[in-house]
Amino acid sequence: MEDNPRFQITSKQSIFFIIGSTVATGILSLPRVASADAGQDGWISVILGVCAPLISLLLIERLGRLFPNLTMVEIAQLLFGKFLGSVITAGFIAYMIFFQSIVLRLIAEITAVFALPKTPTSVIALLSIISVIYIAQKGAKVVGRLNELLFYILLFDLLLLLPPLKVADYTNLLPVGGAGLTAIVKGALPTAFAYEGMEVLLIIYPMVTKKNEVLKAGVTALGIAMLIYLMATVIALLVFGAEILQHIIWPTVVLFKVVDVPVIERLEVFFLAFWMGLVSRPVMNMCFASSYSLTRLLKLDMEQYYSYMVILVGLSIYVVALIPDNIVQTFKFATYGGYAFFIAAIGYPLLFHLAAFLQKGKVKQYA
Amino acid sequence: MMMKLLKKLFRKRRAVTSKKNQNNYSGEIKLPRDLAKKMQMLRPYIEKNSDIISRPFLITEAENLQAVAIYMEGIIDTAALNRDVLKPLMLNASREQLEKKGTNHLIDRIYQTSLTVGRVIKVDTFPALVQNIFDGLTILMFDGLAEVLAVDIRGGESRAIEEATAEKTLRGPREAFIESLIVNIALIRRKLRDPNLVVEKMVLGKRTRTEVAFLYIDDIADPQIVAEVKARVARIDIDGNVVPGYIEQLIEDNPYSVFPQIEETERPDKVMAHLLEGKIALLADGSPFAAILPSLFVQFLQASEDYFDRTYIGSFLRAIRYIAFFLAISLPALYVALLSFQQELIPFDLIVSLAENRKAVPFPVAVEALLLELIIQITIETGLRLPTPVGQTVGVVGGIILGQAAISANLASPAIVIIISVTTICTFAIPVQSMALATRILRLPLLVFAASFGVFGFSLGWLLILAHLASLESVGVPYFAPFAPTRFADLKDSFFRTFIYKMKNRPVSIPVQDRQRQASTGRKDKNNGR
Repeated sequence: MEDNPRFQITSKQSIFFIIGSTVATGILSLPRVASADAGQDGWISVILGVCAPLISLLLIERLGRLFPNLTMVEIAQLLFGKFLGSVITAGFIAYMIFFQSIVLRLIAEITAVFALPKTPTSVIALLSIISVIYIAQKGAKVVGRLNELLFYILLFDLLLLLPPLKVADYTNLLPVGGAGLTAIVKGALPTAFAYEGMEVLLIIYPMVTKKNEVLKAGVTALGIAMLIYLMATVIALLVFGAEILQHIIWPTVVLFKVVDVPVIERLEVFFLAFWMGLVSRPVMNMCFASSYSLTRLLKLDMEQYYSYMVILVGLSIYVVALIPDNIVQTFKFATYGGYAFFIAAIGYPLLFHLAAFLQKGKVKQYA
Repeated sequence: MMMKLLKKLFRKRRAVTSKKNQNNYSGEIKLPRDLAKKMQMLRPYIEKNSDIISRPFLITEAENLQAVAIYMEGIIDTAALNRDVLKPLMLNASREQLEKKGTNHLIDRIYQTSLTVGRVIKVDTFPALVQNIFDGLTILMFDGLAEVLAVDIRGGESRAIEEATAEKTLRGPREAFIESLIVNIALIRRKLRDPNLVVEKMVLGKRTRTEVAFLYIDDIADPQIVAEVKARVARIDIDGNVVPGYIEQLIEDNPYSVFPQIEETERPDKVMAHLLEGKIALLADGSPFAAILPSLFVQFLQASEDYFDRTYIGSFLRAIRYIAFFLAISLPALYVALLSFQQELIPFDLIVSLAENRKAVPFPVAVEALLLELIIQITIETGLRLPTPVGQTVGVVGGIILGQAAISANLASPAIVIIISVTTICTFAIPVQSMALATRILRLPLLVFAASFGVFGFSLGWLLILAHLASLESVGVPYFAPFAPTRFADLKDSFFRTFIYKMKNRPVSIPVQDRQRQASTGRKDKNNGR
């Protein structure tokens, strides 16, 4: 287990850590993505989509039980040897950086569209990454607390999704199951991408103080994430209908524009005020997780070098985020990121399990 | 990163200075038996300081015993000196009587039979003798006896106990601390008669030698926190200026934060309440304030009335204060962000009237806001230091006349004057001054953020503030506690306050040994029936 209290989190915080890493920019486009194949049954796809992260959760939790006190870097080096293990973890860190750079780019793009049309996205991304670096370098304890706090604050954001129900048309959901089983299952694949980020558990597992509660925490986290996604998708479907949804890039944001509320008229202002808190969570969680692993991988002193690693990781996220030329290319990258999610969240733990199975002797020493 | 580097530099520097300034009185010089020799040693001090009085006298009867009393004028209680020290020694004591037990015990006999004073110390080294004189004790030296007696009859003038000025209350006790440590401790003892209330004293400040007292309830306060606080205070190596304000800055966890991490209060009843929650109070002689350790964020938005008034009223006031805290930091920023970036988010009729008002103003909103903000900050600062009647005039001239004139001269729009005034009023709704000051500072960077990036900047600014709050700790206790990390049990005394009878346990945010505050039979619950 991690001894440094700066890098310890409670099992309750691990729930919010997972939710924070998962629910962010994905929720803004999910209604469109889910209903692309499944049409009015997109919400069923959202429910099915949770299977992939659930499998990943079970695999990671099993793996964690085998080596409760080892970090991912140590497990990899134990099972695959010094060199190969390092390469494997380096791959995971690279994946996290790649994934977060897409999220960062999306944050910048969406902000530009809805709040700052004249400001270049590179400036918005820079500002965001600087604040992420500030937060991530404070360590797991603070990141965990912040995830917890932001979760409760953002529940308020979900309430903002309710007023648009005024113009809801329930016939938009009918006929239930009309899209056909194959379409629904096909639609479930991209919705599974929305849970990208939960694989951070692979890194934070050794930091959780009560290991026996991790599984419960993980299931709770995925359940809450699924409910949030379900709510957004159902409301968007009710308001817009599956066909119109396909023409709206960020349906969840547009939802706020649909209705006028007395006195304040626009709900968007509340949404925008919480905006950075909502979307920067995965970047700060992953930035923290990859800096932590990188420091471990390079065998550097945590107290001394961790903060430098955060800056290094943060800047590389920023640089990669500038690579896509436009939003279309960013979405393409995001799809690659989605496939990479399957490799990272299911492939990695499976590989580890396989190696552990083949070398039972080594496992027994650490059980 | 920079912070860390600075910290390292700072630490090294501190270590070096502490080595240099070692105690001046390090040698252990024993006192001679001869009175004249003792006086000879003390001469440099007595000659240089005209307020040190030496009063020779004789202990009478057959063979005279020469003696000298040395004390500092004004610090001791002169009546007590005459009544309890000089009179019994000069009139009632005799050497014969005293010597019945032999010369070795003479000093003890004097102490036992002829001094009608409570606290007397026996001193036999020269440095201790000098120190005791300057600590304000009265020294009695005798011919032929190496040991001297230091009698504590300190007294003299001090301020009377008055009504609290910085933390006024409508209901509840009025008295406030004064500058005397002994009186202040007595004020707390009078309210808290628990035999487990511990008062530990320590002397701080190499030159000022200020007495500092730790107060805590032994079977409630967490021993680890008590030890930590004591260790941190003991590490202080400073020449003087030992007041809670200094001590706080020397022992707090995050010196680079704008948020106050240790609360100061001048009200004994508040200290008592905190002691009962398992916290530690730190008092210093010469300061009418007590520092509370550890202090949490919620504490800075609590006022005594919240508990004295009915629950609904208390909760309402709490909620208002939290809103005021939020507005005090963010109202100008929000206004600037909406008006200069997100006009479409303002209701149509409102934006029309705002634009109408602003059309003659030559500056951008951000400049207007910054300018007015600056003026109001200067006005507050000016009003604070001036004598009351003048201060009020400044307030009226600065606030009303200037604002009105600025509007008529088209230098500011009425809306911004309202915004800045409301913000300023919100600042004053925060009960603890140090937190109010923090909001006054935080407002400016948030305004700049909002002026450059609109609502996005505003949201980024608040994220950073929340992250910062979540990272703070006070003596190792999470500062932003019932919110992050979320502790549901403690939320009942945060932005609202539940019924007193429901606060059966002490807050979980602060580690304590004894959780229970009320027995469950304290008040019958509804279900139990009457």
